[in-house]
Amino acid sequence: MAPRIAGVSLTDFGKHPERSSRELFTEAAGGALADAGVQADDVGVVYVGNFAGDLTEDQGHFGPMMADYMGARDVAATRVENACASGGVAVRQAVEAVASGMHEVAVAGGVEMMHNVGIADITDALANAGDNEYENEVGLTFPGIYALMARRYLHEFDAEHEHLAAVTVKNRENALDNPIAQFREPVTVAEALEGRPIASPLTLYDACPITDGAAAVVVTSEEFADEHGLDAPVRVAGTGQSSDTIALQDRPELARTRAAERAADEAYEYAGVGPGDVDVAEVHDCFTIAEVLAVESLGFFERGEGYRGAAEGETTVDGSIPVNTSGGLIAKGHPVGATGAAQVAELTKQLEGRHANQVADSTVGVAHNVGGSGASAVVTVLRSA
Amino acid sequence: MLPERTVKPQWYTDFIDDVEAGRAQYLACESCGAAELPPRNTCPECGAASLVERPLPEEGTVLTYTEVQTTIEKFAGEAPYTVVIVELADSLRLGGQLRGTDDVAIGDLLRVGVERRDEREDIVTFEPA
Repeated sequence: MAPRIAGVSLTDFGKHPERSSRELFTEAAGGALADAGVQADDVGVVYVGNFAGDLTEDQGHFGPMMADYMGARDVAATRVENACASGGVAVRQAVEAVASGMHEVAVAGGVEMMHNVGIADITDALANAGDNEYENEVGLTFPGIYALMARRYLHEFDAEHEHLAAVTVKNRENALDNPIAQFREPVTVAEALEGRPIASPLTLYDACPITDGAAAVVVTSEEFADEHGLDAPVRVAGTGQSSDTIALQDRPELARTRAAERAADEAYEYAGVGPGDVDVAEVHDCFTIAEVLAVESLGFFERGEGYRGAAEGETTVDGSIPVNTSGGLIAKGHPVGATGAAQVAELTKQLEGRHANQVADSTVGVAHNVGGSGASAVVTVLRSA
Repeated sequence: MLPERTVKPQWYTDFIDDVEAGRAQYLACESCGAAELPPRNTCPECGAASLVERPLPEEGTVLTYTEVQTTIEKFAGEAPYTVVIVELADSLRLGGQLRGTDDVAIGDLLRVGVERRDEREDIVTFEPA
């Protein structure tokens, strides 16, 4: 009785400072309902992922606001906040609501406005995903925290910065054909390595951009999909979520994301599949090092071997395990609260055979969404047929 | 944007004062031996409420570091600066800003301290031991 992903939609990802979360979310939710062939009247519950609306829009209480604007004023509506994993956790909440039998139709999505404030303010807002006293007070930013992880990874394993840069090159290439992607220009390894330093050893090309955008998915019960004749071949076969220390310094291994490993194990077990069954994955590449850690956490590569994925072509669209065929956070963009839902939306398109970078014969997809430096992780396994 | 806090949590103010005075404590679990930084009353490893104070080692080795170029308002005009994570004891790590040298490598021995800063946040620092 696995819940179905009946419809998906993403807004344009990019620089839209003149817009607002209510408009972006409404566009995504309305698009997802239209894609599903479901009326707003049928929706029973709404989950909205958002991280920093209080800071960037001086607005909280996103749940009822978004439900109202999308045409479902009277439903149960809740904002979900797990930093950069907010959207993925919103989808998981919707899956739980439908799988439990509590609701037949749920809308889950996320939205973030980021370009409407200055770069110092948005950097400060994003730093709230870390430990204020132990990280921010000593001057750590999010690029800084991932740089600490990257430095340790390069020290422990046989990897160089150019292996990390290969992630950017691959994801930029993948975004060329994605109409909603923020960066649709290719970049070379040499250009990426020579980028402006943001936190050594990382350059601007190791980082995802600041992005305004929203994404939404419609989750329905199998019975609702069948009774209403919905064209919804993709089901949520498994979901997993785990947590870890909020401060990087409290983890015994600094170049490892154990919450993501636990979330992956749980999702695989739930779905009855293993890493070798996965045809395509969308992973949380907020920085290049994050994709390397992600493909290790998901079991596609042994620990310390993930750097080979992009560099050796195994994670390209025609590789053995295509990763981030959408362009990922690095090229598609990272509207923080929307990202996890955007991953599920992109994967659904893959499994329905309508993706811009279609992977042939893909039936099992995995989404990996991380909050902070790994304190929150949610993994979703999707299946068609 | 939200305003800056006007009052800091007391545990943090105390921790900074104690590091500066050389009397900082960490929390050792009497049940499982885990080592944690304040403020906790329950061991996150075994769940026991048996944390006791032990003197925080003042020296340790660098596990990782980064030179931060793009920073937040609190540190405006101070970049670039280097942040290190130092292992003070088994499973006890602490971050701080590097002082006293521009040159650092993984494995270097550093000593913890505090920098008092007029009009700005006091911060944990590390300098060559």
